[in-house]
Amino acid sequence: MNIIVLVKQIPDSEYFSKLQLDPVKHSLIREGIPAVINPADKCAIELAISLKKHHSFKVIAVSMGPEATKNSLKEAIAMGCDEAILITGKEFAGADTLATSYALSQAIIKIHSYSMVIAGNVALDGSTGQTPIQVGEFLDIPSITNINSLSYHKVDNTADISRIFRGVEQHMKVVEMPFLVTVSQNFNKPHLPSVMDIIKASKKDIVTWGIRDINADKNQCGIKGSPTETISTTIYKNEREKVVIIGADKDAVKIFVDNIKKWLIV
Amino acid sequence: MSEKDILVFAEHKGQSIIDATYEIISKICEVKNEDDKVGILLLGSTVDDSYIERLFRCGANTLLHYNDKLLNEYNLDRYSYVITEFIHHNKPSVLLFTATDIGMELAPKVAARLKTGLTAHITDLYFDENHNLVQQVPGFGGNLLVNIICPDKRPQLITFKPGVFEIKENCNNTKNIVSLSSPSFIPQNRIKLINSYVITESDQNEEEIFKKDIIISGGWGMKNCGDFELINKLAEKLNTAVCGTRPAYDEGWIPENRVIGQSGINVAPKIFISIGASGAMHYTTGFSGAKKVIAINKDKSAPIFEYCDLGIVADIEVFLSKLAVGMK
Repeated sequence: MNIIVLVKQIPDSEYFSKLQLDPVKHSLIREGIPAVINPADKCAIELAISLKKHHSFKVIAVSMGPEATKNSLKEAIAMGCDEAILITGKEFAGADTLATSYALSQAIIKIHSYSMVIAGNVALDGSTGQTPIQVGEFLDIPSITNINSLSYHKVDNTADISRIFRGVEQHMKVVEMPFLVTVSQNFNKPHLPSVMDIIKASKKDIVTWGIRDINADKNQCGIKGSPTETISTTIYKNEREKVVIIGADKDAVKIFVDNIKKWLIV
Repeated sequence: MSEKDILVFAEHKGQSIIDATYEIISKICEVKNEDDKVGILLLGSTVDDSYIERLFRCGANTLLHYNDKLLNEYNLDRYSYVITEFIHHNKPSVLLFTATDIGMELAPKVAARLKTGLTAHITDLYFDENHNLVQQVPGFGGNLLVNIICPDKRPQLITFKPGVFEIKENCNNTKNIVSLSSPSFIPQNRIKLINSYVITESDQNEEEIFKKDIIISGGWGMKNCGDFELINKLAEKLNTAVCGTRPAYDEGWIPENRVIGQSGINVAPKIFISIGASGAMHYTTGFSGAKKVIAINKDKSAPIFEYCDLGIVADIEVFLSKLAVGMK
């Protein structure tokens, strides 16, 4: 059986503070900003691979994005995914979470046979965390967000899952396959692929699917299929006072205490 | 409801409605047009009257109440089904959720079912002349502010991060409650909940932290000065909550729901005190809403000093010990 992992390629978050807007088009200038796999998605890959080790699943990474997303999918293969599929084409450009979820779910429907979908809970660039749940809705499968453990039982094809939800630890049993779960960046520590694995992965073909391959309605993809619209973007202005004092003497303590008193009243 | 009406999903916890719900109502009443009516959607029969009265003081016009004990316990499949059915019949213009554990999974599911737009954890909003809500959200770790609208589809869905907007109880609206009967079909739970137990103390509750005036947060720099002991002592003295960076979580000094920043929570207290954290982008974005920020770190070139109002370059252990004496 297959495990599907949803992967998003994002600009490296270490460079977020260096992002600039094109003064004319108001779009993001991505040149010179390295692209990486979203950190929580790496944890999703790691979980899928650990399930594969114990239960002979086949792991398929699925992403939507421009051609350059292949780099991240090759990394996913180097980490241990068996296959990677890129959904790409101009019809998909400018998609919001709804249109993205629709396209991803159409690809999953095409893959047809799968036990579970694993995704990162949130991508660091947009930070909405909406896509996995919406994919689950389009596929009409049960979804559990932010899990902190998952054990699969081959004997009866069930899974025990736990998560902390509203300060309560919940233990759940999923008896109906397939299902979808999300994991946070704190779920596990993804391993670094070996040089050998990277070389092997670089030679592997990434399957690309266009809009016809996944039998998608073009009115539900890309900008056309996106109910939300960005009307303007501005760079955040740092307006902190930045008064810095040096030394741990009595004066520093006094300034600290005085400021706390003053700022609490405002 | 009319096509300009605003609907707020009320998130309850046992007998109470959580503060984040009142924050949404207060904010939307501030920005709405005078004739727009605000309805509150409440599922389940457990909530006390006092919490219901507070809805009207914050500006609600009507409470739409599925007073059904089958809906007392939150369940994603059931709640999304009931809400979607309500929307199909009543067609509000706006539907608002809290960006809590519940709202963050419920809102996207409802949006996908209605095939409409959803904007996540906004930091500001206003109506334009076409009754579109212009929704400001931070992107790329707070470095960009993006204005989003949902021009053609209704309702427009939005989630609000707790702690961003103030609760204002200055309305004296009449208590108008409409009891609704649940749809004849309510989906079965597809996931079997075997057991659940409360793991956190009351002061670590999900929403408790957003009520604090001061929040203290520590980072990896606490490693060589007794871990979080000094921070915990200071927090006790100032009656504040303790949070931290992701490395602080990795060390086991704080629980996961206390990680500040991109992989955790956003907070906006009056004063945010960061101790022993260098100030990586994915961390500083988590307190960009704080009114004032104080940073203490021994490395004067640390980026944290770019994100504070008051910075103290000092040996942390020495400073905190002196502070403990000075505050007596």
